[in-house]
Amino acid sequence: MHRLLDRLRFILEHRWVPRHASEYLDGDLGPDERRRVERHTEACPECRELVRGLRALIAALGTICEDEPRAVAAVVLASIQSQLADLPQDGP
Amino acid sequence: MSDPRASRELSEDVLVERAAGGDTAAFEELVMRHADRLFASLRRFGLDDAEAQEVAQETFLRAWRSLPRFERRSAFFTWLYRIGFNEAQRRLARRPAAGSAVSADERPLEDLVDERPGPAEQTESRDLRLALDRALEQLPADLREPVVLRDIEGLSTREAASLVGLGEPAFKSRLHRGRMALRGLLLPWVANPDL
Repeated sequence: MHRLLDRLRFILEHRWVPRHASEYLDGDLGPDERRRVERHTEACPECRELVRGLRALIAALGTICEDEPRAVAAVVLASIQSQLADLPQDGP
Repeated sequence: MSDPRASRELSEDVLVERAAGGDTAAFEELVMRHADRLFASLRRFGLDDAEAQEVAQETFLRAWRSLPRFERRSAFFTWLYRIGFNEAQRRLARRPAAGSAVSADERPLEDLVDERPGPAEQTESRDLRLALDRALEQLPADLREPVVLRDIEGLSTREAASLVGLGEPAFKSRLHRGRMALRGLLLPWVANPDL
């Protein structure tokens, strides 16, 4: 009976954890829900891998802005430079 | 008007204050500091090079006009970004509709992944940065925007949700779906424990 309940609990958590993996990684879960994720990922390689992969993906996305090639700033500036002096600013 | 060379040494706050007072040299320095990042962001929203450049120009012109009303509750780039994002949305909305009319919210996530080129095809270059850019291009706009705003541009959930006109719960749900779709497209990398 216990094994059946454990199995059912595992299946429920296996559905719940992937749906909340982003909130877990973003720190948006409360302590009980965080523990829920951590308990399940300790027991489930598939969900552990999902959380690890998402964490790696978010970290990689965070590096995209670094070292953006300087490509268009001078062109953009040249195209608007002549207009600035004649373009009135709105009042505060 | 101040000396452009001197403007390069000034902090952003000082430049913003001077530009708000009509100092074109200070504003030009702000353009030089932020135009490339804005351009790259506009490209990631689905504009092509020419469109992104035009929208970047329009964004800076609008910013110049509106600067005296900028209340500095957010960073200058976040404010600029909001103008650029709205302008990009207007530009994208004028494009003829293409493909499915079904919102990404209504489609199973697997569909978004399965109908696109497989990971092996995308990852030929073995360049993670390039693969990320390619994978982002393949996401539908309503899943790409949350990922770009939150994970690439680093906006807070509240700022990003407000920008795309969603409540925070709906934004978080879409962000998660976007990340999961990207993960599916980038499996060769995310499956690598060294990443």
